[in-house]
Amino acid sequence: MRGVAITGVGIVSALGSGFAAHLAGLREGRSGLRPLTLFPAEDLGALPVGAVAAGLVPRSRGPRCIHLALRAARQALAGRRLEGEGVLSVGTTTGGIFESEAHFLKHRGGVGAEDRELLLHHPIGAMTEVLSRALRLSASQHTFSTACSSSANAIGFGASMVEREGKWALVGGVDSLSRITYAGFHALKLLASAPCRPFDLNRRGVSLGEGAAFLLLEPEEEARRRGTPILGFVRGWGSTSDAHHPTAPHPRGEGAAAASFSALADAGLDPAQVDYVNAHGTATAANDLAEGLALGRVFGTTPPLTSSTKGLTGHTLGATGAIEAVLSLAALSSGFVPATTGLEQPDPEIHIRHVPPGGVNQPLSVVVSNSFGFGGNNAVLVLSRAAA
Amino acid sequence: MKPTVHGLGTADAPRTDRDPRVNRLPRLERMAFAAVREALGGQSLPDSLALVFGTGYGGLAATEAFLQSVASRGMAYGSAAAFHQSVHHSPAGQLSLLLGIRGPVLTVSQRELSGEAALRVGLTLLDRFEFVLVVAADEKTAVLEAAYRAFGGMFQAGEGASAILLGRGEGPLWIERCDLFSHPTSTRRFASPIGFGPRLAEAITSSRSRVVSIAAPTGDVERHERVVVGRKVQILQDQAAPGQVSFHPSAGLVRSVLAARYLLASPGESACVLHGLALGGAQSITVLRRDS
Repeated sequence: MRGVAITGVGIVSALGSGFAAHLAGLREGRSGLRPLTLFPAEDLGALPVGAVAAGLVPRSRGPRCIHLALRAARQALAGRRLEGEGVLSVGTTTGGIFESEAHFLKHRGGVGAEDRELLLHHPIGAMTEVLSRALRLSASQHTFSTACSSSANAIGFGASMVEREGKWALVGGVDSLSRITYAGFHALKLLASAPCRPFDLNRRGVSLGEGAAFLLLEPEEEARRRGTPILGFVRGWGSTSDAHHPTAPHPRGEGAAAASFSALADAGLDPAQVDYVNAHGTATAANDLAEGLALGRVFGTTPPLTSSTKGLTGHTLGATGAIEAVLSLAALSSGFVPATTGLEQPDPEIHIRHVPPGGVNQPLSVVVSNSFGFGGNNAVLVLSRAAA
Repeated sequence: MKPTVHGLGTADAPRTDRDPRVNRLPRLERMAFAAVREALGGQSLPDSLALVFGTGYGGLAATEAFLQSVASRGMAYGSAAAFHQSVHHSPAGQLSLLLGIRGPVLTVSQRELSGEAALRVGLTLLDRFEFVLVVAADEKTAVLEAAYRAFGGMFQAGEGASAILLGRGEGPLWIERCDLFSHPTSTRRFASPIGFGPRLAEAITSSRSRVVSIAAPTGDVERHERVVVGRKVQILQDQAAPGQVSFHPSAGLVRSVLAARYLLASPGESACVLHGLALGGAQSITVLRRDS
């Protein structure tokens, strides 16, 4: 992939709102995980989650996920009015289900017409139409829903459209906390009772999170012509399927490794040129082990620094690819490599080069961001400071 | 590079499959797999293959089942199977498992243009892969019908699945274009005729097509589409052969398959325009062309 410049970013998560707040959060290794308060968890209890602070989500009507998406997308645009036809590519797993599940639980699948506003944004494709209308975008709309790799695929697709058709692309992802994912991850026995501990010997599963992140992409030539500051480049996208199991990753990480090789080939880079990997690192027993094996296969005996940022934001599901792409860009632009918050005793079975506690200052040129999802979906993005 | 059509399939209900794993799957996945079986027609899968799955609501029955289990037994007692089947990507994951596809397997959703959106993404993936299997499916449930009634019964819920195998090689039928447009409007309205009319009229003129498949989500919208199409161009749905398609989020791909079959069976026709509309104001234009 050539000439896909990043000229705007926006992000909101448990770490706060905005690029600067997230860079500060990375440097501090500050965890945004707190006991759940967004809805009553009944017999499940209030487990730690990465909720967006109440003051950052308007109490007005409308779905929580759209408030989150609009906040991040507006930051990415920074007041700019995009001209001409572009591409809007968004990743989400649940869209407006926080509201529609409330309708179901109240009306048990009945008409419930008096509360029908709660159903308006249940179709996940409604997200792009609301963003288009609110941001006055003239864009072809694409909603990717490949579970926890959704927004990494949305970014990869949008970037490929910038390269292919020379249009601008607003790309990103969003998901809010919801009862269905909270209870669902518990049903799969993947929810941690304490803040998540990626790659730790005593890891016990996922801490869920929520948030949104967007990147504005445009052809490098166009950005340079207008004199717009370029924050970095999307250099590669790899997407594969495990074809192994409905929910569990391939135990040897074969699909994940194939996605990495595909993304690096797309970028025209060798594994040895990668400086940092922002791992998927969910803190489930299976994911972290498989990802470690995949990284070992890709990077061999000279692995790059690797960490997971799930201990800061929680696992934001469909938004995670976009949120971690922005966090990777923060690392790239600041030269600060974040450590894995929550990691105390590295699992000796996972052979990766952990970032030392407290993080390290080191110039970075190329960063890889991993996102993997249910259904055996693997998406890998390659970001760089400089063009090819 | 011409994106050519190498296989077509549709299913309006699950079928009993020779693979017992398929018969254990939820209804939505079984419909999707039936359409895929038909599209592949026994041919072996190529190595360079991607899959794009389009769906408006994904595993809606599973979503309802999971929420019902939570509502009746409490949050700690949700069904694990229903949860993972409720994920929009679950059917695509199952298809990749059954078929052994290890290339990209993507799920896209774009309200009532979910089939067209899958086709659009599939066409772009042909830059990277020799073949792309585009599949779309949606299911009807009692809760979906109740939701439509809550909004005054804007349309009847339908269901069905379809599949198209796209490739770069030679073939009698190819997809000349598949474009998505936006005419932002209220979340519960379709684009106005002033919004969608010019794109539809331009597509008919530029493609020199004598046949059009219209979206017809409601009687009102259908009347406006017919005015734009005019009397000199045939409406595919008026022909006896293709049959009727109920309106659902991924019906656009079903109509594409029917249009492709119509072109293959009609030596006098060289192209067909497919018009799609979604609530919220999105529009699609697809042109299928047959080489003379």
